[in-house]
Amino acid sequence: MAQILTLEALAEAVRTKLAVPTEFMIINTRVILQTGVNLRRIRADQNQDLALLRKVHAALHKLGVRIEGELP
Amino acid sequence: MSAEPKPRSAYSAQSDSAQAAQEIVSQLGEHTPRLIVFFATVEHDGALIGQTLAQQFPTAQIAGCSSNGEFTDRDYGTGGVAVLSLGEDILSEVASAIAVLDDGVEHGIHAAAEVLSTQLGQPLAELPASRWVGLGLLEGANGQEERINESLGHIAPLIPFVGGSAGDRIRFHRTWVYAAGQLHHNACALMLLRPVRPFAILKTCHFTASPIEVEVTKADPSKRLIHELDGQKAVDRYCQIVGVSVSELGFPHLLANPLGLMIEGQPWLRSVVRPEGSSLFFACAVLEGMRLHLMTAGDIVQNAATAFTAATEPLGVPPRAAILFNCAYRMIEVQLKGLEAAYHSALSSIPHAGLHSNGESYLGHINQTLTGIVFS
Repeated sequence: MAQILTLEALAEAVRTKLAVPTEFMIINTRVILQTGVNLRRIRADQNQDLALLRKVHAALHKLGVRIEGELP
Repeated sequence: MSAEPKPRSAYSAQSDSAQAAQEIVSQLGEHTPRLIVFFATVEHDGALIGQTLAQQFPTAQIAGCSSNGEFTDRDYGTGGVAVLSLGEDILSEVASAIAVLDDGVEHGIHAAAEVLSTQLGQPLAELPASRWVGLGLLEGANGQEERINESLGHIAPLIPFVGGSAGDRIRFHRTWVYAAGQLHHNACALMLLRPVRPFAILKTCHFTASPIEVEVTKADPSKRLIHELDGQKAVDRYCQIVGVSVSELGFPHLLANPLGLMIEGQPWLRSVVRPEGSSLFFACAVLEGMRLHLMTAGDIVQNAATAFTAATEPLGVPPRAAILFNCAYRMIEVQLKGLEAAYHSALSSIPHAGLHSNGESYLGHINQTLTGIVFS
């Protein structure tokens, strides 16, 4: 199973999972409010932040968005 | 024989709850509603009002909460009761439950979700999200709204819950909510609505983002405190960007200068409540690392006047009724500016009921907005 090393990679996996734009919008808004990370516009200072990556992954999991791939 | 279904509002300024309930029943007239939502001043006996409505309208689910002020298209004030009744022409299905939070937010919300799922005959996460909308009347005195909204996301991630925090004349002491025949103080009334026709979620404010942006560098979201902005003491940096000295900083500056988290060009306002030492206490949690814009105020009456059509324009249908959550800060602004009558007149093109809330909810907790559901 491939590793997810960055928020960009995680965002790409979410986009694949949530192909309907309104579904992505709703989940992304919840993630922004809960973590401060906008999966559409990941800031350079956030992209490789491992703690933030785990936080976003956990938030997505609780929202029922199960992403395949392991975190470091 | 029941009259033709149509959205109906009612308003009573009576301070006696029994008299207010009778006046509301009389104004609503004979009909067979699916949902009745009421907002009443915190001193009112919400259980008596709710039970009177339930006896008179047995076909309806009844839900309500206490407020900082109440309004409809008929009238507005503080100390009364505002009601909206929606029938089968607006809603095809309604489920309601009360989430008691005494054993924790997550526990209360999940227990209520079980009740809603049983009523609807399927898990909430399996409802077709485009056809359903949640309505939440949240406990509003104890700063739990962020956790409540997160929990709502866990039970139904794709269904937006729209709502607001119950009020208590801006004392933040104790609010109440009513649903499923019960009144509780530490609880949320949760409903799932299936509108017959397209509906719009309204989330609007009269602020736009200025180019001035600050980063939250130290915060305690659990206490809704920001300690540092851009690495400086939060009060000092806020005063710099607002253009006022720390000694002169007062409520008018806070009211006129919220900060905004911008998401896809739309502001999610975070209102400053007061300085606490060198920190700022907000009406909403803000996380470290978030970048917030200083917001610039526009015309609040104009914002209200265009709210319904702006919300429903993309649907290509006219608005017919609305349930509204108007931030108490907006109420204070129109009162201070002498615009209360103009503000409510601007909203009164369609039947509606609303409260001046201790914050609004749409996917998360927000401040200083007019938020609600607009039905076509």
